[in-house]
Amino acid sequence: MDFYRAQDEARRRTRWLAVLFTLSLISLLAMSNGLLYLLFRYAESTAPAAGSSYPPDNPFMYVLVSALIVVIVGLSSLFKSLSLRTGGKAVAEMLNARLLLTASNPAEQRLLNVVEEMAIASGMPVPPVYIMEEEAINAFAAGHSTANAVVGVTRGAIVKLNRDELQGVIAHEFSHILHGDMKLNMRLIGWLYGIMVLGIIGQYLVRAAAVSRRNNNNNAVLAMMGLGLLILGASGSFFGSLIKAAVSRQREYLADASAVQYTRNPKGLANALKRIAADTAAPWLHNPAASQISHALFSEGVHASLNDLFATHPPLEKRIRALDPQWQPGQELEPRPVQPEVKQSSAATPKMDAAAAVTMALARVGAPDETDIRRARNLLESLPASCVLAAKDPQGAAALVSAVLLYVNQIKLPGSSFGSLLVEIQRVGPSVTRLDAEQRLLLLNLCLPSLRQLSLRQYQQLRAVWEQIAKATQNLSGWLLYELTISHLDRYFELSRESTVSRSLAQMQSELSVFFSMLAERGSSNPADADKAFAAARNSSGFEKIERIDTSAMNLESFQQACSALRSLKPSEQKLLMAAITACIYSDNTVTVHEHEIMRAVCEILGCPLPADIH
Amino acid sequence: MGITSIILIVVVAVIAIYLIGVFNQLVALKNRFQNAFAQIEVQLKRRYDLIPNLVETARAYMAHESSTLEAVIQARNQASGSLGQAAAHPGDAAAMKSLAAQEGALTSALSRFSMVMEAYPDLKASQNMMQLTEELTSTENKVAFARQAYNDQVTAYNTYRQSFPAVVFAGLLGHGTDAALLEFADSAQIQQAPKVSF
Repeated sequence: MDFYRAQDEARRRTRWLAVLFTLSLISLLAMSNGLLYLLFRYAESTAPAAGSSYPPDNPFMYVLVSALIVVIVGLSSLFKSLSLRTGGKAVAEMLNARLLLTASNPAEQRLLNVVEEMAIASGMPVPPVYIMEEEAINAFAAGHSTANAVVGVTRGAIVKLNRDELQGVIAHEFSHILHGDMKLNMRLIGWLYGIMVLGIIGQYLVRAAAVSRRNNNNNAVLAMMGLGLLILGASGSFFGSLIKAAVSRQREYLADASAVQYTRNPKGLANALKRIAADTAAPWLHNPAASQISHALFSEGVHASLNDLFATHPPLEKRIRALDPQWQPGQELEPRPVQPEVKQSSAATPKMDAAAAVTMALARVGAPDETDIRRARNLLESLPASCVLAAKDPQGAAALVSAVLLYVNQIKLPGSSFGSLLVEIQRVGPSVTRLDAEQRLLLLNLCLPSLRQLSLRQYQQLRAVWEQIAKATQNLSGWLLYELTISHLDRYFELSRESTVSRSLAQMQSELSVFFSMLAERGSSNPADADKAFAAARNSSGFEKIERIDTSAMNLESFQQACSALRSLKPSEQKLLMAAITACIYSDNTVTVHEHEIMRAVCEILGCPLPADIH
Repeated sequence: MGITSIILIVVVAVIAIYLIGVFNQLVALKNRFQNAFAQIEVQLKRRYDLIPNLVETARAYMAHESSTLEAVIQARNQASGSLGQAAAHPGDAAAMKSLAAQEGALTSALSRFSMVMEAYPDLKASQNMMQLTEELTSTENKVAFARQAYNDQVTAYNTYRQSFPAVVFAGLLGHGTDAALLEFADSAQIQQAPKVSF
């Protein structure tokens, strides 16, 4: 399915979610008022004139209680949504999952490799991988966007699945990331928390009433209040699971189908599902928070209970049959027939007609396939071992990024700027100079997870030096690599925030002019091509008003502002932007390696998952 | 149930929510320095794993210097032990002090070792030895870098904990003491180098 259409659909479902939520709230209010009425009838009938402190039946009470419920639900949902604002990391911490940076055994290394390949194949930054110490086979992906996505996998999954099956599960999770389901699931967690919270209060009240030994009458009424809240809570859970089922269940079939599309290996995913079906000893997650995110898991994680009256996932049997129609329960699992590894050369991309390249690029966004995965694996293996090792720890990663920026920008800086990093930079420098553009981009992406481990002060020091490097030239590649690194890390270290306001193309004409002037001028080898490139951009719909600006007067800051403006573009117009960018880059009727690198870097900066290969 | 009791309930609720926020922030900052310590642990473990190799390579040449070599192994084992302790309680003052002390002892044992090695130019020039010492130096750099990050995160935690209003509730919320920094006796500064470019 078209990436942009999928995002649109995810947004439509969000509106549907809002409707369901409102209906639930209204039902809750109706029920609570009904219960209150009953409570008053009971209090009236059992309470003599003396000893009872309950107010007379009064319409104001109903209004008050309704308002109180709305406030409690609203505040709780708000509170939960705020606590999730750091993105996928918050969900992982909620589940007590542990961040996996370096593997301590081959199974963990295999997981890291599979995730890395999938991310590189999809053209998005490698998400941090978290492990849940649970025996059940399960996984999740959480986050608001590709930039703060995380992937979590249970210990059971790592140990019990083989590589193909693991890859199927990871591909399924990436499908959620790429189709906008993930963002929707995060919203669900926040909103549903409010509805469920009444039940929690009810449980507490009932327990308090049961324990207290004071005034029997008050006790009884308290207990009834608690009971009433419990009933409300139960209905809250009822609505919660109804919403979860309605919004997310169908998406699981799509995610399964996409996973097969990505890996071209239906057996992998099917076998994973079969293993889960056969794993009767430990099917459920033990963590109490699991019921809050049950809709975001790979398969049913929580035993059907009050909290999950409706299954969040289609029945396993149905999912398996969708992939393998001949399956019967209890069958032996068939391994995948061994296919000879076809080594793909990472040579320069073939010359291609510009118009074809444009349509191809647009169609491939958010739709990796198994050649992309293989290419990603080959690319990873082509990196020098010293570089890959250095990328795994913060200091090495800092040195690598510094070396890449120095090399690409052809800058000389005094050694003192780098302090203790200098020795490390000189060590990795020679390997860095031998990398090609695609490997450089890949290496930068590999460094990002380690750079997140820096302290704020260390990051700020580094950032200042990198800014110095980037400011000293007008090299487009240098600027793009710099912008890619720091836009990602600035958001992680909260030095900048994702803007919540989306703007339309018409509102950012000056930034568009800056961006496309730079892209056309610095991305082309001669002025005639630059003119053509800019004209191609201007010909795209929505871009008629952009103006050519003299790039020699342009500085890094205005380019960065242009990039962040583009990131805040309305989702419905993102496809137009991509069309204009591809038209501009591929305007000279050939696709060179340099242009391909620029394309990939720009896509990553804008958060657009373009797979590695245009073929 | 008059207006005053409603206002009271709302105020209590707001305070409760605020307290939860403070608690969450304390937990988050604590997690950060604990993760930063994990990074130190990774590099220190690498260091401790390199040392037996180093000693075995040297033993072939330095047959008569067994006391120096044994001192290195001893110091390394003790440091490794105190690392295990410290990893279980990152930020605990006693554990951090003990780790720093053992690391200091190891560093002096190693520097005595390299002084002794000066008298064995064959050993010094051997490929193996050069590679090992280079890796050791690199790992020590990484330890220093990781230690910087850890100390930064500890400082952030302590500062938040001591500031108002966290200071009022920190004890109640289970964050009663400051976390301890990890101070090693610093090795010599990197020399001023000529310009870096490729």
